Amino acid sequence: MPQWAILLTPFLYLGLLFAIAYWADLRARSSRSLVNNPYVYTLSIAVYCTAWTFYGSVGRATQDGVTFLTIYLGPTLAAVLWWVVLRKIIRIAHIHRITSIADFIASRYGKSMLLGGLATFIAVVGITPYIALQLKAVSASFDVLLYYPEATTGAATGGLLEDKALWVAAVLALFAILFGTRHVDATERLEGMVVAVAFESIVKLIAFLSVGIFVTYILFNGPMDLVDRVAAEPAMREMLNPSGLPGGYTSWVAMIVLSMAAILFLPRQFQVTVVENVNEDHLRTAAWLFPLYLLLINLFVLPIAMAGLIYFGDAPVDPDNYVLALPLAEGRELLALFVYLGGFSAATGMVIVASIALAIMVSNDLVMPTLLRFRHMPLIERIGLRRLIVYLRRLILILLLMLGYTYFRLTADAFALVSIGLISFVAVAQFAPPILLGMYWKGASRAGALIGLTGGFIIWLYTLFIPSLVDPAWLPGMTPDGLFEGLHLLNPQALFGLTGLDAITHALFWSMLFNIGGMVLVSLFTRQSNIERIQAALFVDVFERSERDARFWQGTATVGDLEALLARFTGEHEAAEAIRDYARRQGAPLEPNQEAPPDLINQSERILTGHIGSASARVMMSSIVKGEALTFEGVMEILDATSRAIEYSRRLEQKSRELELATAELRAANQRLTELDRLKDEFVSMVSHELRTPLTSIRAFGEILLSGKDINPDQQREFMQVIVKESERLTRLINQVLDLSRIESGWGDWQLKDLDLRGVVEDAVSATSQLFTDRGVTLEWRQPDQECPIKGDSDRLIQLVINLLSNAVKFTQPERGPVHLTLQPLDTMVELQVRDSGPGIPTQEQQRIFEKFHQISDQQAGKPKGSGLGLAICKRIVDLHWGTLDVESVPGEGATFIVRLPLAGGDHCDISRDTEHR
Amino acid sequence: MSATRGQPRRRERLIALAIIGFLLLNYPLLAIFATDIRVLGLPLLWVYLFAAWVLIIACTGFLLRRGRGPRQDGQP
Amino acid sequence: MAKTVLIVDDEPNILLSLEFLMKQSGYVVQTAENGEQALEMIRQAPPDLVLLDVMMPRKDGFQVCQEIRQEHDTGSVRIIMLTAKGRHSEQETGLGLGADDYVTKPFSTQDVVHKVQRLLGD
Repeated sequence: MPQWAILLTPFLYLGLLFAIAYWADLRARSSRSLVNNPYVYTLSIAVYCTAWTFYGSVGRATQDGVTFLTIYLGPTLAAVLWWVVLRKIIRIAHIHRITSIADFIASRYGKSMLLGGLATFIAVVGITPYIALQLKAVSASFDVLLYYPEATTGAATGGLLEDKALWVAAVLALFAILFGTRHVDATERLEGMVVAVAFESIVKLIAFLSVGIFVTYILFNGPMDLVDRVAAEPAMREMLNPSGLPGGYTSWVAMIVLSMAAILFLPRQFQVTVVENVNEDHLRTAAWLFPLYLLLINLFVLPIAMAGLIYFGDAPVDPDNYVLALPLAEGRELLALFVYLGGFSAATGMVIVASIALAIMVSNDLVMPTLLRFRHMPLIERIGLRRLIVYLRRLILILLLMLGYTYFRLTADAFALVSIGLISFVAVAQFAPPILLGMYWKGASRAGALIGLTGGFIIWLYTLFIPSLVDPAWLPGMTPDGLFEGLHLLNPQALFGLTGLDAITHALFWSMLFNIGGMVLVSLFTRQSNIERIQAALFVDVFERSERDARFWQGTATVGDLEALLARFTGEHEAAEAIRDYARRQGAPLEPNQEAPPDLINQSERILTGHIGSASARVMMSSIVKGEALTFEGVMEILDATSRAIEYSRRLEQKSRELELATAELRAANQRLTELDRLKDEFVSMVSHELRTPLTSIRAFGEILLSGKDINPDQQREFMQVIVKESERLTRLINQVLDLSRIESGWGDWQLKDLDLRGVVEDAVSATSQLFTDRGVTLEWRQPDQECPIKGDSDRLIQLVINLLSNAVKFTQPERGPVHLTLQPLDTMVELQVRDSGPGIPTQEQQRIFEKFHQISDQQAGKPKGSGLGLAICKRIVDLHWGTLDVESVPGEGATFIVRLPLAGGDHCDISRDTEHR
Repeated sequence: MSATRGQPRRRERLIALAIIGFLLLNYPLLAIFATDIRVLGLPLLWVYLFAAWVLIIACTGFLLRRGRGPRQDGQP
Repeated sequence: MAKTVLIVDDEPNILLSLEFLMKQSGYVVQTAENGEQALEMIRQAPPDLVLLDVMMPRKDGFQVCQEIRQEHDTGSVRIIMLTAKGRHSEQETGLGLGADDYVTKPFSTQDVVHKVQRLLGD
């Protein structure tokens, strides 16, 4: 492939990137945003995968096998917790208009300028090597592409102007300036940047998968083939051997913890996951899709590593370059070029986002506080703060990239790719304690964070950063054991004599110990200032509070002053717009000389925070707000009032739930009462009807007889008989109603005794014998020889049998056969059957005949009628004796009533339990 | 108000999943799989790591699937 | 010509007493023991007046009353309801369905006779 084509391709690619970013910005301005989309969001998070992933993983895999995976397993585990932790960070950042990690820490600990500055410093020092690493990768891979197979062991170090890395750095700076510093307000989304980075994530994934498939399936016969061949070579078998993990178990755990922290707190990750987040709901997708992306991009790392080892053997090819060297060695130049672009996109994506994130941090948390001190200088006045900020950010961007480039030139050949990345990881891991503790522990104090962060950072500098930068031999008095002769305890690789850990684990352990330990201890023994306590409450309880709670200022500034202040940073137009917007929402216009309401002052402070960081914004506000900021007591009162209101509303909710429940119960009870009332009404009206019927006959015949007209003696006699019979019927009915009411009331005056049911039946039979004789019906009854002991009230049981017998006799015609009565003891029961040969009972009526006053409507004419209470009474008596009463009947062939009563001796006889049966 | 109210147990379940995942992907459990046994021609440890990885991703996706609660659009 | 009265009740003794009273007053008397039987008889030969019990098996008095009023041939038959529950609502229902009058059980024999005579214009 011609050299000019290779030289031109990356710049053409960057041109494409510009076009994409420009297009995305255009769409954003016409409100057809591309970033409000969980997939773009996820792909932008994949900026995590840098050139380190693209080239370095393979290199690492050739030495340590699967250990390279820890860097991706950690983020997978962290992603599980995103919905819990990251969502809270996002919510806090959006409410407080926080735009960087440094600002997050500064804001949490009382808008501390010092902490913001320190965090920024750590980030810059920590990330610069990482940026350098990307430049190195771009440069090294480019050399491989150009000169393979001559120079494949590292970067060429030619003249400055011939160095492609410098040119790339310059173009990237241009890109970052164009798409990263257009707005002063850092909370404005950098849509162009996000979409470009998302696009790069697609390119690097496809590129890596392509080379992976090519190497694994075209060059070799699949992963099994590779494993077999590696296993056959004793020199390479080490890679498969899982027992040879460097640093052992602790190292593995440390890497996972380290990368969990990195995915949250690397400045570029904070930029894309928090600042550029459009919708918290996108986390739902990102939390599984991003780990899936990681898995895919790592799928072919091991096969490529194995293939490289087999293919190149002892040839001097840097394993970090296998990804490129394999297609090149096979003469697949186009594939190699595409792979190169993949690595290029991985590197540039990282550099762009990281440098923009750092630039915002540096300008808002490091430069701005200093600058504002000199804000009345004539030069600054002339340029205008607003434009000054933009210029500053651009300058800072260029400086940062130059810094990265310088670091790259200084240490160009010193390290393999992985270790530099891990050094940066340990640096950003220092942010984890102040942020995580600050989000969940209100007691974490500014002094604690300051001490912890400083301690952790110093340890990091001493144990990792300086040893990476400086050849130990350069330092005077340096020995292999420590910086200074005789001071073994200060050996940066084995601090305080701690040996047996690899450098990264060692540094992570000590820095975290000092960081967390210092933070916790100091926090426990210092008093928080008022503003710290307020911010702590706002951060920790962010989900419980509303945005309006973040109030600090009492209104002693005029609207005009506020607008003027805003205008200096946001521009006249935006400032006026913000004021108008507020007035519109309040529904009342604001005059410039009017006193500004506290809400407006707070809102203005937040707007300023987005532009110049929280600490500076606070300083600016206090410069125009006359009098005191709201006292601590005042603010805490507001916060407490909110907490109380929340508590009240929670209690109210609970109360109203309880009330609802009670209402439902009442409604049900009322329904039962209504139903009972209806039943009672019905009962009364039925009784009334049943009483009126015989009374009607009695009265009618009584009056007829009394009138004495035209009645012959036979008729007279007949009428008198009717009167007597109906009177008897009336008496019977009254007795039954009384019986029923007594039975309904439960045990009442019952006498519970041990009885032999045979005696009961005998009594009942003799009591009804007259009835049978009158009707001319015979009764056939069988008694068993053995006893049928039951517990019960003998009078009621006799009544039960009498009712059943008289019911049977009533429906039996003498010519159709006798009434049968059988008594037989079963297992635990006694069964009593009364069978008649009457007309029977239709199926649909069988359940209802036990209801009070239910009379089968389909009776044959002239049938003697009962009161309709007999069976209801029977049912009730049986119920109270823990028994069952059923009927079996085939219409036309008679009916059988079956009573089953439990034999004496069971639990049921315990009278104290009978309440349930009432 | 807190969006966690829509699915009160989701938070706990996610935390439990993270702990389980952390255990699955760390020693000492890994030591069980760090043998010379091959599965499908590949070292057991490799297969195990990728399988556990897929499992964790799938569980995360499952726990975060959109519930019946109202969708919240835009930013807070 | 003597007018016809149909007495409908499922209680044989009430039937007996009313039959006696009506005959005593000089009417031709028919009796039925349930609603269906009554309707059949009314359709075959509409009587001048029906004494109609409410609570009856098969078809109750209200239904019978309604059907009598709906049919052209029998529409002019006079109806007196015999109610036993003694509730206002029952009496109103009867009148609403087109009954001419009602008597509450237990009734005064004179009262029944008077009402029948009045309705039949005697």
